Amino acid sequence: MIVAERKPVEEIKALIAGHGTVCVLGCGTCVTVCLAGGEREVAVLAGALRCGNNGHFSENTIERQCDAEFFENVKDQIDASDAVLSMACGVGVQMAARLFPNKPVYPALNTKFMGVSDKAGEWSENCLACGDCKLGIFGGVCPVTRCSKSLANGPCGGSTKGRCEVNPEKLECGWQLIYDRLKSLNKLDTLAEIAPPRDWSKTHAGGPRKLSREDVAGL
Amino acid sequence: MTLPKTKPVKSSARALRQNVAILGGGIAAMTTANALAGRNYKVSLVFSGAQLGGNARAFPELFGHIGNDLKQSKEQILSTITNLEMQINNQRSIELFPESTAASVKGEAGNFKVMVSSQGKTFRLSAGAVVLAAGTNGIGAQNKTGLTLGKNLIAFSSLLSMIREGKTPKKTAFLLDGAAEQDCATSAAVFSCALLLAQQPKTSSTVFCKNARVAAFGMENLYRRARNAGVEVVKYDSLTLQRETAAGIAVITRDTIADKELCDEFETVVYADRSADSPRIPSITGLKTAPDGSLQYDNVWLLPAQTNRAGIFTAGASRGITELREVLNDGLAVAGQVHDFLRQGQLVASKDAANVDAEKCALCLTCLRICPVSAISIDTKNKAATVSPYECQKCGACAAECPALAITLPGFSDEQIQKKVGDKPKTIVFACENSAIPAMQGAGKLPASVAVITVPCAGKVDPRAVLQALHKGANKVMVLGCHPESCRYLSGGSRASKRMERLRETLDKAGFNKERVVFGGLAALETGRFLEYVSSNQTMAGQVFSPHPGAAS
Ligand code: SF4
Ligand code: SF4
Ligand code: SF4
Ligand code: SF4
Repeated sequence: MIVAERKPVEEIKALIAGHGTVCVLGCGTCVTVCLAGGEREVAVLAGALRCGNNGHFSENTIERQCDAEFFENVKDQIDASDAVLSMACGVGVQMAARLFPNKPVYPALNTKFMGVSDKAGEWSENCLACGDCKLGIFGGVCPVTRCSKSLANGPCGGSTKGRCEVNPEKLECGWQLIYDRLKSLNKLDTLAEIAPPRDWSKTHAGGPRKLSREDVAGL
Repeated sequence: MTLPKTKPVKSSARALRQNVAILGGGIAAMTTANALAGRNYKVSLVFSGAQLGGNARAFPELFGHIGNDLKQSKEQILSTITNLEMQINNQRSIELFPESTAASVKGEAGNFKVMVSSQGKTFRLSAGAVVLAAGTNGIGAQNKTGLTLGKNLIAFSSLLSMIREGKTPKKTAFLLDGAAEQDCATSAAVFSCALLLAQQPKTSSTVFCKNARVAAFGMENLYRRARNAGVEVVKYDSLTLQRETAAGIAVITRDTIADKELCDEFETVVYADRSADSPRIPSITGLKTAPDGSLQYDNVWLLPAQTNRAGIFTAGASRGITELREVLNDGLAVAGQVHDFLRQGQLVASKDAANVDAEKCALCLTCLRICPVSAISIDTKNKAATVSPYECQKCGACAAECPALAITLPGFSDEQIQKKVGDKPKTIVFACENSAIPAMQGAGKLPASVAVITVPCAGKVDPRAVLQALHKGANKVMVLGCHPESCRYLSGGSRASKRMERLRETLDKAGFNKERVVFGGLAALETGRFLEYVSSNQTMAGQVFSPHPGAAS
C-alpha cells in the first residue's frame, strides 16, 4: 500500500492561510489503512485547526481520491469551500486538483513510500515501482528498494552483521536478506549469475509512465 | 450515521472444556500438572524430551545451592524429579506425550486446539486451557559478547559436556550480567559449575559479575564454598573481551569505584546470562509478551500466571520463575488461576461488546493488533474485522483507534459521549472507571464547573471527543486513567497518554494552548492525586476560544 504521514501542522497552516472555508477531504483506502488520512485523521486535523482559530473547516472522506467518480458526492461541498485540503496521497491530491480547476488544492500529507506494515503503527518501504520486477531471482527481496544503494550484484563493502552501513541502527542490509532467503531456499547458485544493468527507462527515469489495457478501454 | 451491523450471536454461551494442555516437561510443568490433577482436571503433558524433568534432569549438577555439597545437591534434585514423576504416574488423569512438540495453539478460550507433532505424526488436542511451560533456552543460549563462539569462547552447554567428558579446561571465566542483571537461579548454576571446576586438580575459574546474588536460600552457602575452593569473583562495571591472544581470550574489566582496570587471560570464556526466549513456543495469534522475553505481558492484572489471552497461562521460567523452590511452588499458583478460569464452566457472550460496522471497516488491522486481549479477528466472509463477544473486555481501545470510525462500544458511542460532554464551559474529566472513578469516591463534592464522564478505560477516549469538548467550550479536558504499568486493560493507559501527547502537539502547532488537554495517571486509591489533577485546572488561565460555525461535517 501507499504509506504517508501528516505534514507538520505549521506547514499545513501556512498552506491554507487566508482561505475562508477549507474542505478537509480524507481518502478511504491506503491512507486510511496507514492511519494518515482516513475519517478519524480528518476529524482530528480539522478539529485541531478549528481550535487554533485557523479558519472554517468542513469534513468529508471518500472511498478513493485516485478515481474521479468518488468525488461526485463531495462536489457541492467542495464548490462551497474556498480550498481543498486533501488528506490523500499525492495521487489523490492531483486528482482533486484536476477535477476542481478553480479551487486551490493542498496536500495535508507527505506521501512516503510503497510498503508493508510491520506491526501496529510501523511501516517499511518495499518497492520503488521500477517497472521491471526482478523479485523472482532475488528470493522475493527487492534489491532496488531494500538495498540503500540499489545494488544488483551483491552487497557493498559496508554490510556488517546484517545491517546496512547507510544507517545500521535502522536498516537491515537488503543483500543480507537476499542471501539468507536464497540460502534457505537452497538457491544460492542463482547469485552466481551476473544481473545485467537494469533498464532504467522502464522506471520514472523514462518519464511519467502510462498504462493501457486495450481490451478494457473504450465503451 | 449508519447503524452498526453486528453478526447475530448464535449461542450466548460457550462451554469451557474441563481439561488442560501443558506444553513443557520440566519441573514447572510437572508441578502444575500434579496440582491440576489434584483439582480433578484432565491434563495432557506435551514435552520434547523422552523423559520428564527438562533442564533439571539434563543438568542436575547446577543446583549447588540446595544441598551441602555438589553431590548431595545433585541427588536431591534428581530425587525431586523422581518424586514428581511418581506422583504424575499415579495420576490417571494425566496423559503424557513425550518427544512431542506443539506447533500451534488455535481456537478460542475454553476450546483450544493444540496441534501436536510427535514422532512423525501430527494430531490435535482439544483443551479448555493451555499452560505454556517449556522454560527458556537456558544459560548462555544467546551469546551477546559480540565475539563469535569458537575455540576459546564457548557455550555454557559445551562447557558442561566437556566437563562430563573429562576435558576440563584449565582456566575458565564465567561472564554474568553482560546483558542484564541475572537472577539467583542463574548465579546458582554458574557458581555450581565454577565450583565443579575448582574441585578438579590444577584448574581455576573466575566469575565476572556486577553483583553476587545470595538472596535465595542456600546461595550464600554455595558462594562461600565456591570461594573456599578457590573460585575467584570479580565485580565489574564494564567489561570487554579481546579476541584470541596467545593464551586464549583476554578479559578486561573496569571497576569504577576502585578506578582500576584489570586484564587477565583465560583459556576458556563462557557467556552465562540466561536467555529469556522460550524454546518451542507454539504459534499463538495475539499472544503479547514482555520486552524481556517473558511470555507474560508485564501487568499486575495478569498475576500470577495469565497471559494476555484468556485461557492461556504460563508457568516457570517462561515467565521468569527460575529458582527451584519458587518453581516448585509455582504449580499451585498456576493451577489455582487455571481453576478460577475453568470453574466458570462457560463463558457468556456479552451483549455490549465492541462491534464493527462491516461496511465501514477498511481492514487496516489496527484493532486486531492493538486489542489487549486479542479478541478481534477477521471475518473473511464479510471482509471485515469482527469482535468475539466472549473475549472482548469492553475497554474501547479499538473504537478510539479505528481510522475508519467503524467500531462502536455500546454505551460509549460518539453520540452518547457528546451528550454527556454537553455544551457548557466546563472542565471535562474523562475518568477511567478502574482508577479515576474509585479515586474520586473519597473526594467529596466537586465544583460544579467540573463534569466527570466515566469511561471503561482511558484508552477509550477518542481524540475527536476531546476536540469536540473543546469546541463546545470546555476550558480544559482531562483524561485520567491507570498508571500505564497497572492498567486494567494492559495497554490502555499508555496508549491514552501517548495519544493525548500527540493531540497536544497537534493543538500546540495549530495555535491552541495545549495545556488545556491533559493526561494523568493515577491508582484507584489516589484520591489526593485525583484532587490535584482536578483542582490544578481551577487556576488554569484558559485561552479565549471562539467556536466556529460549520464545524460539524
Ligand atoms: S524489483 Fe522493482 S517492481 Fe520489483 S519490488 Fe523491486 S522496485 Fe518493485
Ligand atoms: S550495506 Fe547492504 S543494504 Fe546497505 S548499501 Fe551496502 S549492500 Fe546495500
Ligand atoms: S481498526 Fe477499523 S478499519 Fe481497521 S480493521 Fe479494525 S474495524 Fe476495520
Ligand atoms: S473493546 Fe477492548 S477488548 Fe473489546 S475488542 Fe475492543 S480493544 Fe478488544
